[in-house]
Amino acid sequence: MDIAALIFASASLPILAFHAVWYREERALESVYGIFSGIFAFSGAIVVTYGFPGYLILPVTFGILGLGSIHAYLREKKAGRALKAVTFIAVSVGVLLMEVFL
Amino acid sequence: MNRKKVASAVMVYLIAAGIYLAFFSYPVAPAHASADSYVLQKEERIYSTPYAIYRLYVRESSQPAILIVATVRTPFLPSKTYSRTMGMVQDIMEREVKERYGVDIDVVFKKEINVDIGGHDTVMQDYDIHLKYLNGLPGIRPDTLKMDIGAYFCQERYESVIVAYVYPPLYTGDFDRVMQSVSC
Repeated sequence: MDIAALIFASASLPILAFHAVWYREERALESVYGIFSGIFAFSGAIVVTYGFPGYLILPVTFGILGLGSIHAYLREKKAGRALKAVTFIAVSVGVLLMEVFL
Repeated sequence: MNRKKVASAVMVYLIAAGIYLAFFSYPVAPAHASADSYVLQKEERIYSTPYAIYRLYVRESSQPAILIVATVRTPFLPSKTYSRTMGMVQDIMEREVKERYGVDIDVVFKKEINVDIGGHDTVMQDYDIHLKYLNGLPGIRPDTLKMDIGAYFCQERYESVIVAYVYPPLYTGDFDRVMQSVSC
């Protein structure tokens, strides 16, 4: 496999590790979404070489993190979760718009 | 505990950003052309982030044909990188035409065409280059050249390839084989 593909894919590993290391009962839901987003980003970067559209990787990764925060907010109704959800969704949309228009 | 978590989150995103920077700075394997009679004359780096390099091939004659194949490190083909590199490649090409033909030029956009470049469907912009000879009559030289510029994403190598080809009417027949000879 091309080294560039491995470098690109490995950018998701710190995020994956963060959610795995900080996995706690009280925020298990967000951790699960975080781990899933890391796995998506890693495998997405690998399958770009087989035709997967690379521009979707970052927006979808942040979108999954945003969904995790929304899910956690709906369960716990904590303002912090809502703020995280809005931030992640905004980053996801912002990155997608940047990729399309810049 | 919470402060530790926030600090590690910031660290994690900084590391991820650093890895992305490393990806964009990682040198490309330059795309190349293998058409007969087209000789590699120059290979130069355009910029280092994202890493971009171009190769210049020429079919030498009194009416030279010029081919530039540029390669940029990208995870897809972003519009900004596409237009920035394409503009830069066009500038390099126009400079080459002026030097090799000893002319001033007018570039006129004609149309967009679909071309198969080394197995990739590519939209190319088709231009006429009107030559304004500085040293009197052109003799057997043409007064108009064709220029085609397009780009595609080479997914197997995480690179975008920009191809610019200028040719006189004499070498119109070269177009398909030159485009087919480009590979990343």
